[in-house]
Amino acid sequence: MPFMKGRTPIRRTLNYLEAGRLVLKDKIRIFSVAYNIQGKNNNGAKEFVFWYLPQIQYKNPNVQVATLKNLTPSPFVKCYFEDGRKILVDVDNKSKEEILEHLINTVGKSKKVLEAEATMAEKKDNPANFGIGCDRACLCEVYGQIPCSGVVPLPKFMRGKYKNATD
Amino acid sequence: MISQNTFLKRSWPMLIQCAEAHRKPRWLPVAKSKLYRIPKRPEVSEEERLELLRVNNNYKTQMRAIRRFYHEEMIKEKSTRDSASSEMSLRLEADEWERCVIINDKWNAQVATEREERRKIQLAEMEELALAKMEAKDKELKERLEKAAEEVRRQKALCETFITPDKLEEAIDYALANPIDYNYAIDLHGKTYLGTTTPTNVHKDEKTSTAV
Repeated sequence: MPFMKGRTPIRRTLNYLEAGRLVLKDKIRIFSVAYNIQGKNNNGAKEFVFWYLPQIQYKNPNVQVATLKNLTPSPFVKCYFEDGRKILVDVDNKSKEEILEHLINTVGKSKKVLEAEATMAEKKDNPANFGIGCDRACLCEVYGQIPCSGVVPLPKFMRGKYKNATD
Repeated sequence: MISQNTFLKRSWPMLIQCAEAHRKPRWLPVAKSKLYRIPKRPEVSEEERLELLRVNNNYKTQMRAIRRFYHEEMIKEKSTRDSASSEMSLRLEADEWERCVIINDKWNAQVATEREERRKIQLAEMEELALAKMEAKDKELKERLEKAAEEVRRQKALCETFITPDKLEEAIDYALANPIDYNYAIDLHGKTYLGTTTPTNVHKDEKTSTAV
């Protein structure tokens, strides 16, 4: 899709996609929304699909997000877990915000879990970290840092032998 | 990285003992005296080769077995460790699932009641609409019937004046007895000016003006 073309191209901007709040639980494999395009009671589901589905797909790249249009008498959201469990959410006559809040409460990860995961990811990704399993084994590999004294002797003014010389 | 030269050039006495023999640095070419020397291929007798092969194979097999054993043990250990923590996480997850299902059931029930109410209202509205439509249709039908009856009545009244075969003679006689002359003109005030050429006018010129 070209930039700034089509209906509400804001839905395709990175900022909007990253602002999505619904991160599904790890065990959810399929997220499906069934709705009709006609009828007042379908408005919430329709707008939910229009506004929030891009964010959901962006935030959950490993989840299949399916929409079933005009195949149901009343709109609903159905989530399939990897162990065969299913959860059905009736979204008849609800606004898109209400639907999103409810989904976050039930099938989404809680705020606490998300924060913990974010800190974990940060720990792994932080380029300032060094040691085993990081980008660099030792801080001395960074340009501008003092090399390890085992490889190159420290300058004399830093060495106790010369600093503390008594004579 | 420190090159060998830094060690060679440094001023303080060499404290590190070098056990290895002096070697040619890697970046120098082959010495002139050794340029065309072709080292002799080592001669290994067939027996020795076979023996070495056997020993080597044995060694590799055993090492592989040991490595695999340790690997499997590590995996087993890890899985037991995981299961210990996973039991905990499984229980947490089950609790979470229970909570979600309860919330969701409540939500679904609420939505269902709301929908039922909405359906009822919709049904009532539809019934009302249908009744109104039926009434309108009834009214229209009645009106049409009335109109038709009126038309029939009118036609029946007109029927009296029709000329039937029985009355034909009578009608002809009447027409001959009362000839009507349409050969006249009317001015803006409704005054009739009869024609002068028709013979009927000669007898009835006293009836010339009739206000319309």
